[in-house]
Amino acid sequence: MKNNKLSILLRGIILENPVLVLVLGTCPTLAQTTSVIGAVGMGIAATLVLILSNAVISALRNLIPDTVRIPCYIVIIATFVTVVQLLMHAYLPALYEMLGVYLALIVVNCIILGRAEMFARKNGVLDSALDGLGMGLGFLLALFIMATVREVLGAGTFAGIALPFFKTYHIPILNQAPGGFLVFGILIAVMNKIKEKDGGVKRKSFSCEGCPSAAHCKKVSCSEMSEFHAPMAKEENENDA
Amino acid sequence: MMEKKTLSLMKGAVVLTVICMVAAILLGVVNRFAAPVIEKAENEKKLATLSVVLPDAKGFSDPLELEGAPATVKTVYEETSGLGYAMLCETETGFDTLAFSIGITADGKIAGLALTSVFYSAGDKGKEAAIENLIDSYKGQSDTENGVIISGATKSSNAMKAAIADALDYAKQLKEGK
Repeated sequence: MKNNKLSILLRGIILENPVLVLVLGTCPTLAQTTSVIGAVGMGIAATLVLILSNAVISALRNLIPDTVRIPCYIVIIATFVTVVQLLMHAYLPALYEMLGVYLALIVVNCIILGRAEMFARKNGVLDSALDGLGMGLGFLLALFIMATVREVLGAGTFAGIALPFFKTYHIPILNQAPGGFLVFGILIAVMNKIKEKDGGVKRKSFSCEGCPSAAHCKKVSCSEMSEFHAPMAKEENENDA
Repeated sequence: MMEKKTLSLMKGAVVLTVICMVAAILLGVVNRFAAPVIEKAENEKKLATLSVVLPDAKGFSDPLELEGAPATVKTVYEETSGLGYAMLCETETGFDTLAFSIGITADGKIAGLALTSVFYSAGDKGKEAAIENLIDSYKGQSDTENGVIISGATKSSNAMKAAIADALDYAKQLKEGK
């Protein structure tokens, strides 16, 4: 039981890291990683919203009809984002200005809606909150690593503090959009390499789990789909080998 | 069958409405606590810019009553030792509202200028340098003839130039009215 909870928490940090494995939340990742402080601020804000929205959506999952679930999720997520935005504006104005429009854009961050749809609406409140915490920490970790690389190598500073050698020999393009993509790609490659040691990136399964259309898919049952695809997947694996 | 579908739709509408109402109440409560703090911080920020635009100022009066002021001049403070005026101005650029503060000395010259909202992307070093250049072009001037127009921000620069001219005129009016 304890292990199960721990695995839910840890899954989002490394194995299913939302940024480096699931490649979600790319927009704030690229935009907010020019400074470590901004990246940490964005990560914490997104984590808070993830935990709260996952918990509330999970608590209301039996009350919310399927037909209106997405508008309901958006209202819940937007509410928590606005709460975080108001509190940050009041008590952390410098960080609020640094995050700018990207703070409000957490509403449409696909990590949050994705976890609500894929996890919170199928699991209990505690598990959903833990999933939100794990995914949020994974997002925060990815943003922190990427911002550290970009700020240190691109601007020669860390959290605004000038670093002697790097201040002289920095690579300004890393702080621009192309540099963001470059660092992002390298980090994804590193993550794939790490996962390769752990059995490689898993092939897409044909089960319902993780399928965004699963709730509405009535034409073919999932088991039939699995039976249909299993020989194809096997053949594909043999060809690859 | 039809009734079942209607009931389902009604249930969805009711649930969504209730969630929206609860969200509105929650936001209202948070806003009640946060709004005064935000307002206080905004006012402090505005007052801090007054010292930037009138560097030798010893203090400022309460906001003056605006009689016959141009629409771009929003708030005017008088420096307590008679050094001049600090004004908070806002102008429409065609895209958004541009806000800045300006310090005008008693002899009608611009002592300083500071933007309280920006018309460039944060981190755009080129535009930041251009704005520094624009601000420098007005310092010490008693008119807007030599004001710089930023390439790529022409409408914003022109709107700012017109608003600065308004502020200079109003400062003259205030002095003559004394």
